[in-house]
This record gives sequence, structure tokens and C-alpha cells, in this order.
Amino acid sequence: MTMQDMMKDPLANIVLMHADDKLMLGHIQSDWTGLAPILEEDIAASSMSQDDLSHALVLYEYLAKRFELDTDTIAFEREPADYRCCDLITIPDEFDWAAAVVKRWLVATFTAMSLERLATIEDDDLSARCNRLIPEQAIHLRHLNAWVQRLGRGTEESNTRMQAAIDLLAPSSGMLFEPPDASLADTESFCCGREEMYDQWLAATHATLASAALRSAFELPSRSDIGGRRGRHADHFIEQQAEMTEVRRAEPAPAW
Amino acid sequence: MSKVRQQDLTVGDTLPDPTPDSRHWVIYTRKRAGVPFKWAGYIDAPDVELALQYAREHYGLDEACVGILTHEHEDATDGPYEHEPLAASDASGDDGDPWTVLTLNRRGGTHVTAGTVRAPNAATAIERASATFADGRIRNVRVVPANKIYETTADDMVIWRHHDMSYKLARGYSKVVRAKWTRIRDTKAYEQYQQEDIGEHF
Amino acid sequence: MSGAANPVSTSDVTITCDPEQLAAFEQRIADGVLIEPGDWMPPAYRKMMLGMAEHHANSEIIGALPEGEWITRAPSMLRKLALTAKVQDEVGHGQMLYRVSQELGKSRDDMLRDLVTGKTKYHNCFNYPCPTWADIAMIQWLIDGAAIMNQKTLAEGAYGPYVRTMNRINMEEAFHFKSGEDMVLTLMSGTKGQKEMGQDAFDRWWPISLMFFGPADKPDTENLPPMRWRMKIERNDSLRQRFVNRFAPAAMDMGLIIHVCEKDEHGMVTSRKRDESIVLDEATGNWSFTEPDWDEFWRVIRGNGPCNAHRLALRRFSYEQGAWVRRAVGTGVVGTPPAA
Repeated sequence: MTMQDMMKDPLANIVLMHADDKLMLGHIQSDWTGLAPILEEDIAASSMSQDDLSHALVLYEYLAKRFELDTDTIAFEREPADYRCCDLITIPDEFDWAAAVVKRWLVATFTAMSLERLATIEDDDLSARCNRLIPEQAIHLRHLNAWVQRLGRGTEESNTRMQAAIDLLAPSSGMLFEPPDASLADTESFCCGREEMYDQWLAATHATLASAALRSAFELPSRSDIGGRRGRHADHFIEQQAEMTEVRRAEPAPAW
Repeated sequence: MSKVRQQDLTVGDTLPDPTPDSRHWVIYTRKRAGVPFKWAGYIDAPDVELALQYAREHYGLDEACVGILTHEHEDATDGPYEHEPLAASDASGDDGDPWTVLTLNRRGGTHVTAGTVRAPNAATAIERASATFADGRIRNVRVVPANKIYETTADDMVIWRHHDMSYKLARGYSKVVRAKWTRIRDTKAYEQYQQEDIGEHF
Repeated sequence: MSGAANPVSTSDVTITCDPEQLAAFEQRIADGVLIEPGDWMPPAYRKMMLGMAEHHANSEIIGALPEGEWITRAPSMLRKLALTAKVQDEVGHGQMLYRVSQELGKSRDDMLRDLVTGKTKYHNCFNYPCPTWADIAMIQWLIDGAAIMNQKTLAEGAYGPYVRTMNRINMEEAFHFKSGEDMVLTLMSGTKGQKEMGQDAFDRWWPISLMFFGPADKPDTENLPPMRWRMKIERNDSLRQRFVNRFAPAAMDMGLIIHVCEKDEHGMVTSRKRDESIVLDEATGNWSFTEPDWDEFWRVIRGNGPCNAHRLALRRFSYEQGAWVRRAVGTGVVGTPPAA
């Protein structure tokens, strides 16, 4: 089997959506290690970035088994257009902790729901993997909800910064809900109705925002908006993916 | 490399105002249900909720961990650190509030949870704890008011992860490293080289 | 990573205290009994111990920066995870070591401020650049290898809180070292390009690791407070010889050549020749070697190394940018629970 076989498979695209989101979220947050505002939070946030990378690996391993590929090949060797992550994730945070927290929180709220749905798939291996990820995802969401609240309510200054981060990222958060393939928008194989999931996500994020003295307006983009999940990526994703693969490309080698 | 790391950063003339250190929490962990909690380290955090979360990520991921216990540093009272084991005595009495007792087997070692005593104050709690728990080995007792000790609950949190953690453990590399070395060096030379390696037990 | 040879100067530490108490204190140490925070200790000991733990903590915090540069470019999922975990560990070690000094009377915030303003120091080896992925492999093999040797001795020290911290740190160092070994072995049995990358990185880091333990100690070092009070356990030259005895043959077996190198002000090698003095004395079991450039050591430690300014600027930037977060979290305000 080949990468092309994998890229044509609808379920593989859904799995890649989750895995690639996690890969890029983990990639970006891992870069904060050693530079976060509080030592204990540096450790905790790095831990969660490793979780995200490990979760991506768990899902890449599922695909590697099914399509007889190597996990590093799947993770690193695709063309940018074959990654199924949404571009909310790679919006640069410009070393702003508020942007880093808000982005992770928006994505984690989505992923918690999305993994629950993916776990109902009729594929024992895949659902077992999802069920291992779900409790860890819950830790992340709990931690991030608490941080949004702490920073939203801590000081006037922190509230202002958090509000600015939300205003920056909210317009792109609808990208989370783009199906990785147009054919999946209405079918059962996307595991749920897109609108239904959006409504649930909206309720959850608004509850946290209210308790954090923050506000936002989110929007579900039109189905005809093609974005990162269908391979039309922003420059910032393409740059990050290039950085991620820089060493491998400079010296192709069987092992590192 | 993120842009920040690459930048030539210009630094200001003055630092922002200092922020006072956070509250200091002492952290204990347990490997399995039912065994004593053992000292692991410290966390600075503004409240117990964050202290336990941080403790989980910092001390709960070194090895299998199913529970975390914490108290504020200032809420603990330690008795004298003896060089010889504490003598059992007959300090008796049952009045007062409950105190959690932790004991130390040897100087330089780590405290473990031992049980509880009741007492009207810390000094009496230490006397009664020394009497109750002296076992010919312990050299120190520490007491903390029972209502100032906090513990993670089972449904509270997953601590040790479900996914493969061997990427951050020395034993995750031992076999492949040995195999790669023995392709290069003979076994005896490898054994000698490896003698400087540290074992991996807490 | 590790504390260096005693960073706190002993020449200006006057030991004025009650001679009887001092004698009892020193006897306790000689008997192998550990000192705990509540015990009587000479004021000089308290000050030196605080400074030593602080310097070690600073080294971990700055040590996180050079390797952190390569996290986003790690060339496999395993290396990506492992490097993130390794750099995370350094932050954790810094946190634990600052705690030792906090207990002796200095706040963490003060220590971070003194670090980023250059008032206190950190280990010299982090003032050098990491221009390639192979530098990461060599740092974890050679520098963490040196740190393990040093920290194993420090775990035999006399101060309880520091010894307990060393024990915890050493567990994680084992992972760092094994991961480093694995990376170096992989490079040196890989493609021609990987082997060259490995050799170039080794040329940069071999001399730095020889300097890791610090210059030769004074002849009377055993009688001076750091060794007398078991803050320092082994002489620098002795550690350095043990390091060479372990790593020189291992490097050569891997196909690495030990060179004597000239470097420019950016820390890059400008010329190299084979170190002909790498020879085993069968009688003693010691490998002879060319000493590193100690003039370079003193230049770099005084602030004129390739990366001194950059490391501090980055850490200071992080401290400045994060101040609003510390202020917010410090209020202890948490959100109100979301409406049901």
C-alpha cells in the first residue's frame, strides 16, 4: 500500500485530521519549553505538548498498520497539501502566553468532543486507541479551562490580554469544523453532524468565557470555504511544516 | 526554530516589578494503591488545585503514580532529627484534632505517610506520634493538621499516562543502545564502559 | 545538567562562628551524617550552599535554551518527544534546585532576576552555540555524561535537601544520557553526511566537555571548606581523567577522531588536527590527552563567549514577557464555575 492509498481513504482522512491537529499543536507548544512564564507551568504545558505529540503518534501508528507505512514517513514526508490540520493551530502566537493558552483551549474543547465521536467508529483498533486518549484529553481541557478563568479574572491587565488573544483567534476557530473531505460533510463517517458539534462546542466555550469575564463571537464558516483540512494551507502552516522537516530534508537518512 | 529563539533581542533597562514567591507546597506520591505516600519534592503555587495539577505533571510522571498528597510547607511541624532511632515512649492521650503523621527512616531519606494521631497542638502531636510510630528505625516525625492535607481523588485525574512513555525513560533505550554498541565493541568492553551508567530506581 | 567545580569563591568567605559548634558540625560531616535545614550550620556553609544550589539551578534554566533551539526541528517523532522531555527535565531540575536555595533564604523571583541581570552565574558550557542537530546528540552524550559523573559524586554530599535533589535529578539524567548515546550511535553508523555532522559536532563539544569539570584545583583543595564540608567530593582533574578514560576509547570505537581544534569567536572550528597525545598508559589505565584551552575558558566565563549575551537576553525576555502572567496567577483568583 502507499501514501496515495491512505490519502484516498475517507476514514484515514478523519484520523489524519485528529493526528495532524495534535502534531502541530504539540509542535508549537513544545517550542515554549524553557521559556514559559512560571517554571511549574512550563513543566505542565510541556507535558501536555508531549501528550499531544504522543497522541498523534498513536493515531499515526493506526494508519501505519493499516497502510503498511512507517510512522515517521506519515508524520514528516507528506506534501503540505496532504496534511489535514486546520490552520487555526499554526497561527503564530508571537511569544504571547495569552494567545498560546487561548489557542490550545479552543482546540482542546473541540478535540475532546471529536475524539468521543471517533471512538464510536466500528473499528476495534481505532476505538481502543481513542479510548486511551480521551481521559488524557480531559486533563488538558480541565487545565486549560482553569487557565482561561485564572487569566480572565486575575487582573485587569490579564483580562485585557486574554480578550485581545480571543479577538485575534476567534475568527479562525471555525476552521476546526471543516471536514477533511467534502464527501464527509454529511455522511455518518464524519461521526456526527457538523452543526451539532459546533453548537456543543459553542456552548462549552461560552460557559468558560462567561466564568472568565471574557466574551467572543464565533462563526461557523460556510461549507464552501476550503481551508487547511482540505489541503489549502496558509503560509504559516507551510513554514512550520518546513521547519519541522528541515533536518530530514537536508540529509535524507534511514534513521536518526 | 521559533522566531523568538532566533531573534537578537533588545532588553530594557529595568526589569518589571518583582512578584513575590507563591505558596510552598510539599508533594508526596504513591506508586500503587494502598502503599504509603513518599516525599517527592516541592511545588510553588497560589492554591491547592494548581499545586496538585503541577505536582502531577512534575512528580507524577517519573514512574507509575496513582496518587498525590500535599500540604503547605508552613503547615508541617517536624520533630528533632535524631541520629539514633526514636525511642518508643508512653506519651498517651487521645484528645484534640486529628494530625497526619509522616516518618523518616534515615537522615537524608524521604518522609512517608505513617498514620494519624489526635492532639490539641503540634508539640503534643509530635510526642504522641513519636510514641506511636517509633519502630526502632525512624529518626523523625512530621505532623500536619489532617484538614491541611490534600489528596488527589481517583476520578480526579489520570496521572501516569496510558500512552507509551518509554521515550523519556532510560530503560526505553537500554536495549537498542546495547545492540548498537555490541555491533561496534565486544561485550566486555561495553560492560566496562556501561559501569558509569546510573540505574533507574527511585 | 550539573553544578560546576565550586562556583562560590571561598577566599572571601570568613568562617566566624563558635569553634565548638563548628567542630561538632565538621565531625558530623566526617561521620557521614547528613545536615538538614533545621540543624546548626556555620553562616559560611549556609551562604555557600545557597550559592551552590543557585548556580546549579541557573545552569539548568540556561541549559534548557541551547537544546530548546532544536525541538521544532527534531528529525523523528521519537527524537521530537525525547528532546522536549529532556529540555522539560532541565526546567524541572531548575525548579527543584531553586527550592533548595529558597529554603536557605532567597526567593525564587530574586534568583531569576539575579540570573537574567548577570549578577549570578551559570555553567560555562551553555555559552557555546548549537549549529546542527548533531550538536544535540553530542551535548546529551558528552555533557550529560560529564554531568552524571559529577552529580554522582555530589549525591554523596552532606546537605540533605541537595542530596535528595541530586538523587531525583540523576534518575532523569540516566534517560538524557541514554538518549544521547542512542543519537550519537545512530549518526556514526549512518550516512556519510550524518557521520560528518557527528564529527564536526564532536570537534566542538569534546574540548567543552573537558572544561566541564573546571580548571585544576589548588593543591590544598581537600582542606578548604567545599571539600572539607563535602560540598565538593572529588577533585576536578580526577573527574576529568575519569571522563577521558570512559569517553575517549568509546568515541574512537564509534569512528570519531579526537582533534585539537582552533575556534573562532563564534565557537566554530577553524582548523583541526588529530590529537596525537590520546594514548593509553596500560600501567595506570589512564588515557593521556591534550588539555583544553584554559584561556578560552576564562574568556568565556567572564562574558566573552559566543552565546553569553544571547542566552541571557532570551531568558530575560522570557522573564519580562511572563510578568503579567505571574501577577495574574499570584492573585489566586480562579474563575467562577460555569453556569450549569
